[in-house]
Amino acid sequence: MGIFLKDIELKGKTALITGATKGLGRGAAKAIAQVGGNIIAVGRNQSELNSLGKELKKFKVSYIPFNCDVNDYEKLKNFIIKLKKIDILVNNAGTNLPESFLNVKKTSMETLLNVNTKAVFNVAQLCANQMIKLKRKNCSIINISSIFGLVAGQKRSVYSMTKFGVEGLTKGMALDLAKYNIRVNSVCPNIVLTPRTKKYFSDKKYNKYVKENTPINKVVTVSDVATSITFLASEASSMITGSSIIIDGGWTAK
Amino acid sequence: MNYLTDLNMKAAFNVAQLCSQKMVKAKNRKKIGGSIIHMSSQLGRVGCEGRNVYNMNKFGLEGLSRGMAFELAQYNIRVNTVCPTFVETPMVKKFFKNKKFKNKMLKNIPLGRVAKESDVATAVAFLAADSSEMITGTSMMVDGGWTAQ
Repeated sequence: MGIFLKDIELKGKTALITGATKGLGRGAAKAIAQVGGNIIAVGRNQSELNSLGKELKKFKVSYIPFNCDVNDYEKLKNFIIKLKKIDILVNNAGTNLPESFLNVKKTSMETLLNVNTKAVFNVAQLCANQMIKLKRKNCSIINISSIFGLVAGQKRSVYSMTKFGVEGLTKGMALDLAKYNIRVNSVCPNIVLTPRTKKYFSDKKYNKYVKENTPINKVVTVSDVATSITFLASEASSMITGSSIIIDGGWTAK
Repeated sequence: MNYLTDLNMKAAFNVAQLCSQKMVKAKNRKKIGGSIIHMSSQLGRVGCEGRNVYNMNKFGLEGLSRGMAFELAQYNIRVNTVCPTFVETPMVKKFFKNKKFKNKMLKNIPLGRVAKESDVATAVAFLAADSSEMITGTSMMVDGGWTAQ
């Protein structure tokens, strides 16, 4: 008999989360800690790393903050290869610079590919290697993708290129890591209200565009996504790998 | 990883953008239309062991293609991809020197054979011509049934 949703717990498990101080990453950290998982938070803002630590205190889990840019491969590597425990990766750090295709600046294209594609790959590879080296059991990697990993959107051609890429990486990793019992999945949220997307929603036209395209007439919340991440991190999803949970209020079902 | 991603994603993007910018300049573009064909792969649609970076690159190309189709439709420029299975090219011949790999891959192709270069070329030509004037944002699978399973 497997485990039921109400029995989800991650006691004794350790989750590394990138982009952990804001938005979806912060939500995932809180949700995982709530069910007993220890947190390693990677972020670039020391005061936000500290405030996350304070917020997690009530859950009585261990907390390791690591101030690092995901583009800094050497610094990441030196940190990850020294970890004593890692069972879960929430590969979350990502960004977006919306521009219409014909006017995409070369610098923004490179920034998006570096953060959303190359760094996502590097973090995943470093963590998977460490999980195998430590002979951890029942590991789970969750890549944060997007509905724009499945369909196109206005001014999202580069973002779609990076997020479709994350979907491909997820499937490829799932096949290569299955023999180590490391599961790899992605979550594909609609546009979630976070500090980064706040400015998009302040544009009335954009607000209307999102509403019109979402059959369930509401905005996806951080906790909607954190719940799916926690489910994928736990043994409640022990036969799910190489797949995506789509949290989009029906956007891509049309 | 950097080598593959720079070539398969960054360079593919740059070429596509430069050509599109040139194409939209034609005053009669709306009337004459235009067609952009990205060379993707069946591995832009499904995972494959030992191919995770290539998967990442080709899925990415599929995403770019959808986004471009969306934005260039107003100029009557269509954007599609071709997704072949393994094709008889020098690159694939090298991979297939590994007999175990070759047999394993062939088992995944219901038609039981690799594609010829001409199989792919005809698909490209079809998408380039006005025979496909209502086809945009799609992928033409030339995969012998690999992804249909």
